[in-house]
Amino acid sequence: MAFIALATLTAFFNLDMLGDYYASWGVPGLLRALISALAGVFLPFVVLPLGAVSIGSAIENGTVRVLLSKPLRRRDFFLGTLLSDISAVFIGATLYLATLVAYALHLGAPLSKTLELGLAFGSLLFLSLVQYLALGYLLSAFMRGRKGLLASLLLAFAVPISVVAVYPSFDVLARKALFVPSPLLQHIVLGMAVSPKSELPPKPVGEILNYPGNLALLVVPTLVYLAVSWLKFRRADLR
Amino acid sequence: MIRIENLVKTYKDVKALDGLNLEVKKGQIYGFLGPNGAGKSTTILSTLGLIFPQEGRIELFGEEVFRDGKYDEGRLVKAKARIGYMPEHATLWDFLTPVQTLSVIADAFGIPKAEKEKRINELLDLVGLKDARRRKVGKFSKGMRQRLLLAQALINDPDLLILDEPMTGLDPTGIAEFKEIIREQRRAGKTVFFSSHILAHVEEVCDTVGVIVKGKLRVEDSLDNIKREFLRKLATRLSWRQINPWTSAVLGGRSRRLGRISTG
Ligand SMILES: Nc1ncnc2c1ncn2[C@@H]1O[C@H](COP(=O)(O)OP(=O)(O)O)[C@@H](O)[C@H]1O
Ligand SMILES: [Mg+2]
Repeated sequence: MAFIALATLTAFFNLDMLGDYYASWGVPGLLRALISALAGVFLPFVVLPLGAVSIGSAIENGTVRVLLSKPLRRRDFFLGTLLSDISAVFIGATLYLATLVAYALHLGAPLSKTLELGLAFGSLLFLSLVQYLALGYLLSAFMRGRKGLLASLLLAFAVPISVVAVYPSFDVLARKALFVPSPLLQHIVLGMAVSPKSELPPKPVGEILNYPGNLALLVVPTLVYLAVSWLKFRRADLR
Repeated sequence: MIRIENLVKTYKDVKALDGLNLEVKKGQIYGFLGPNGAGKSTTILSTLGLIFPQEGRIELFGEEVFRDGKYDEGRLVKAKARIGYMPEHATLWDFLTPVQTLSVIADAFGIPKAEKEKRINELLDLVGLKDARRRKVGKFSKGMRQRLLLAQALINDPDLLILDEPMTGLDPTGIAEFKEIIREQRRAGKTVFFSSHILAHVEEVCDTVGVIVKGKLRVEDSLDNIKREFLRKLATRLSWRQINPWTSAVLGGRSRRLGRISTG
């Protein structure tokens, strides 16, 4: 709930800035702005902690003990929690995107182009956020309580920053960054692809996804994180 | 109903259960008594598959659900359908009302809608939450939360009721009402297994008392016999230190009073 509210709020806060971008560069400028400035940075900061405390708090406050004393399997609890978290992420991302698309249309952006970019960006954003969620699950499988939460916030900062520091130029970053499972970097790259102002020529979303392994990197680490979290949860002491 | 053999559970460096043996028979109201940290919650969580002991065996309703570090989840799920469990500390969903909370719990048992509503009303009446049925649980007092936890444990009309420190934190009226509910279960032919660190809680309700100290069952008998045994040992002038392991557990809240009786 809080997540959804925050997502909507962020979208609104940045309408002004987006107006400027749109005035200067049109739809691509608009998307460039929102991709790199907000979605890539802010939403993961909500989603990663969400994942990190989701199962952990259920163990801490005892909800999981009540539920699993009923004729349910551990698998049912894990999947149920995961599904409800994913739908929260989905609703948040959708609201966020809907606000932006509506605003772009309000500014007079061409309908089909806006929808196309919006949809492509929306699905990438969703996959990235789910990956952050899964990373949060992974963290909570090894760390309980505040420690997990802190670590998750640290990680949200540290991973992208260290990667940006390692790569010598944006061009290399754009080609290689997607190999690092960090949604922030994926957003940066995506942002560059639709931007007319960065050093890179604007690229269609399809081409970005055609970098070898890009789509896989949005999905495979997610699956790995979730698998490890599940294996750990399956044999965890729930007290 | 419950049979536990040689159960061993070690948390990192703490040996919480040290070869525990215990049996709860059909129709018994079994008081599981022991000082804080004796291993009561560890035992209870093990019977429900919520933690993983390292060694031993657990049977529920005559079926082996745990052996040497592994649960048989299929059998466990079947057994859990007939069990009601009230945890020691737990918060349910603060943003739901008691009716909504119990409805979620009932769905885990697949109780049909019409029956569900009837059952929820009965239970809220039974635990004394009828007037608060439409209020958010987040605003509840500790005692009210406790009552709701009991209600959720009874939702499936369980054959076996497992309660972890159910009376801790209740006022005297609450305790009396609680004991009445347990007696009600006995009349209905159910089995109840509940833990406490206070002797007064098991008095007047339990037909059998087991005392656990440092992860082992030290004594198991009727409450009267346990008290008599205690006085006898005192009479033969065993030192306090020698009888301490179980006296502290048995006497709990009223050790001072009994102490005065026996020395006076
Ligand atoms: N998660 C844990 N990690 C380490 N030690 C624990 C943990 N949970 C319980 N213990 C220890 O196990 C022992 C038994 O605990 P418990 O079963 O909760 O006792 P009781 O319910 O009788 O008060 C205690 O010494 C307690 O400190
Ligand atoms: Mg306990």
